[in-house]
Amino acid sequence: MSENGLLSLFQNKENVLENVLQKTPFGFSLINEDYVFEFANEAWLKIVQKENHEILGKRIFDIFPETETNLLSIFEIVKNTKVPFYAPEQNIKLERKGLLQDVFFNFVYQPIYTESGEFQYFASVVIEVTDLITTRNKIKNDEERLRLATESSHTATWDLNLKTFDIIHSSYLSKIFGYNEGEQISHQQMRDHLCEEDRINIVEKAFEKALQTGVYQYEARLIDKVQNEKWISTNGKVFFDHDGIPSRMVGVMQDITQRKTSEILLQQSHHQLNTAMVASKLGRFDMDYETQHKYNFSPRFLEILGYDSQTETISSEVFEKHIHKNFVQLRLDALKAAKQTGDLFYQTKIVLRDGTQKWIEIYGKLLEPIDGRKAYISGTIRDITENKNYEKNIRESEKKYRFLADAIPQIVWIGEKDGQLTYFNKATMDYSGKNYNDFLDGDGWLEIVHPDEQQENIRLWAKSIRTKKPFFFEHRFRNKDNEYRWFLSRAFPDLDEAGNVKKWVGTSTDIDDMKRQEKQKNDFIKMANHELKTPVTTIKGYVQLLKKMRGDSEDKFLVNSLNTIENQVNKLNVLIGDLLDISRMEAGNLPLNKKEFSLLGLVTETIEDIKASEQSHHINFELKHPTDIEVYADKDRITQVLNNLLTNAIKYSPTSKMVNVELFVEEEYAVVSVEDFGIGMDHEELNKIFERFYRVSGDDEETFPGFGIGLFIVKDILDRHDGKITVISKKEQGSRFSFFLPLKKNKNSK
Amino acid sequence: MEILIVDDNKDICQLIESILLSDGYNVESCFNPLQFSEIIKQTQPKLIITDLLMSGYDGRTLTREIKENAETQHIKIIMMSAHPDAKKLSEKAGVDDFLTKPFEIDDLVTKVENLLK
Repeated sequence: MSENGLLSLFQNKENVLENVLQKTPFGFSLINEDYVFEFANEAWLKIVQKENHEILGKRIFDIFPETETNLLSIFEIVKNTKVPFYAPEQNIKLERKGLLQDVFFNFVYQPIYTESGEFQYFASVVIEVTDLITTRNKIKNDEERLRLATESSHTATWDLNLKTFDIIHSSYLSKIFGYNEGEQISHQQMRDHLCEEDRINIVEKAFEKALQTGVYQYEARLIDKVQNEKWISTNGKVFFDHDGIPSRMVGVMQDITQRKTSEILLQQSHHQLNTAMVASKLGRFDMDYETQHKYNFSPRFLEILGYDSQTETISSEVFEKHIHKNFVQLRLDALKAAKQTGDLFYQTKIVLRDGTQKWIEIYGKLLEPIDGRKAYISGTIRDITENKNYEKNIRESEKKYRFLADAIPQIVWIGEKDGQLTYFNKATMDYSGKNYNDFLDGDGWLEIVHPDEQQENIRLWAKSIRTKKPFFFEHRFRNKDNEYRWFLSRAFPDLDEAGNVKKWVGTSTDIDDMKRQEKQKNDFIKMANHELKTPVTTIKGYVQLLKKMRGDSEDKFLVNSLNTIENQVNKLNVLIGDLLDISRMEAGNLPLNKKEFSLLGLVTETIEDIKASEQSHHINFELKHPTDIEVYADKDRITQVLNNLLTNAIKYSPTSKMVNVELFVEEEYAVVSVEDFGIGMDHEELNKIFERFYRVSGDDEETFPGFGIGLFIVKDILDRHDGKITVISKKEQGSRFSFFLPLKKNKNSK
Repeated sequence: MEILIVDDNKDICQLIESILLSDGYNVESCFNPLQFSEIIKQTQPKLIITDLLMSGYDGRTLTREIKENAETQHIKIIMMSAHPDAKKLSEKAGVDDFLTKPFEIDDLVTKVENLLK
């Protein structure tokens, strides 16, 4: 049965073959050696858009004359060489469905020979490849688009042969390495441009890794051809051959210098911020303003709240649970205020899980909603427990000092650097009977200062503030019974390192009793002076009267006695005067009665007076100036000065009988010098002679009587005349005292 | 009577009386200042020598009374005192001259002479 079937098939083979050929989807035609069509199937006819009858038995070049030039030679070659001719992807414009279209065909011309080897036909096989071509073009376009895209995104592409290390790359890659666009560079060149450190540590390692994993990825620095440092990023993929050996690597490369630079900058500023955060021990968080959910806690935030930042996390609502119950309202108020001001700030106590309490400070900025984000607070948290404790300690220590200040009976006060008084101790209130606020209000404290001292008080205080020098002043304060008592106020500036005043610390000491005693003493001396002088007046008067009446008596004893009594009474009178002067000098009210007078006149008169009572010494006087010298001074006091110097010169030169007095001008001073050749003084004594009650001691105390107050007064008188006194002295050789009085300027100026 | 001495110290009164008497002046003294008003009514001195500070009666009050009264204002006054500031105070009070205690008797005589010229 099968054999019969097979046989019939063979019998009909031509028929069958023809049918098959007719229906195949590729075009097929047979052309004989005379180029005449003997067969064409449907597909072929459709391709050339002819009917069967139009071509069968016709010469090809008659039907398609335009093909003769090319095809004739092709046919000849095919016929002679017996090698088929392929004409791939021939473009033919065909009208299909009413549209003229580009259609592509692969043409094959195959010679067919008889069994005896005679040429029989050209078989023309035509296959439409339009779809293939379209697809390929599409791929090509896609590739081109990709290329353009990569180039415009500053992405270079490369293709490295891992066996030969030949590299093909896009033109942009050359640019990255600083070469001209399109200039080809080798794989080795590329490697050479990489920074050595990065090449070893990054690129070569990434390459090794890529060969194992198939993925090539790195970011590294290179120095390009023109010495710019650049950052590049590479992404590649490795292709393996059939044996699993890497054969090819394809990838992209980008210049990421800009990104990297800003990344580094960002990293640096992040680092700085972090450093600052760490240094200030600030914790950080963000908070949704509406829901008050917190997130983005920094480790420090967790630590402050008593969590282990390594192992624990907290939910967005945990924070509230730690707020000490006394501070809940305060916190809510602060949150409300933040809505108005944009700033969130509050200090609160928190309670940790273990029950310990801490003080924290929250500071945040409310950031308005933008780009669809909700309003949120970016905040910091700071542990201020120590500060609070410190504040508390300070407060306690201050309390202690205030207590101390309050406990002492002295008045204590504190002033700011501008002189405003801001603190008074309790003694101030107790003394004045006023309340604290009366004192703080403006210059309220001035109220209790005696009106006579107020102006000077203000002046001196302002001066101390200006000069930063300590303040000293004696003034009277009114007490609660409206009585005034004397106080000595002293204030010292508390300076900082820069020498600026931080505070003034002042005390006022009640010196009223001292003052009173001082006054009593001075009153007593004044009274004693007056009372002593009355008998002195009487004695002196009678002695003089007696001398007047009996002075020419033969009785020498009487006359000498009267002279001695008169001299001693005069000395007594001077001593009484000195005592009074001292007490008045101490009280600061030794009055000066200044007027212009001739110094020459004063000196000569004084010398004459001394001579009248002291005949023991010879006093020489020399004027060493061409004219008289006028001074503006208290004549009586200057007389007292010269008198003192002269009597001293006489007193302390018991063996020498010479005293020299000179009057001259030195620089801006009128100078009177008194020189003796007596016992003199050594250095130690010289330093003390202007002290009160000091006197030079001789071997015999009784030789040199006196209170030793003379030079003390002399110095004070000269000080108060803006003058001075100097002394040159040598033990056992004598002394030379000189006193200086300022010249009357307008008169003696040249 | 030319000169009246008013001082609460009897010795001073006698001293000055002695000095001026020896110089030939007609002198009287009053050592109880409270009696001064009586004496001044009875006698008409040309010069009064007094002290700045006297118990019960002040030299300045005396001066004021004399100088303010038209009948007595022609009377010269010399003020004496041991008080250190007495000179100024006396001049202020309106005296004609001043003498520091203790004094030189020559000074006293000169001043008296000048005022009674």
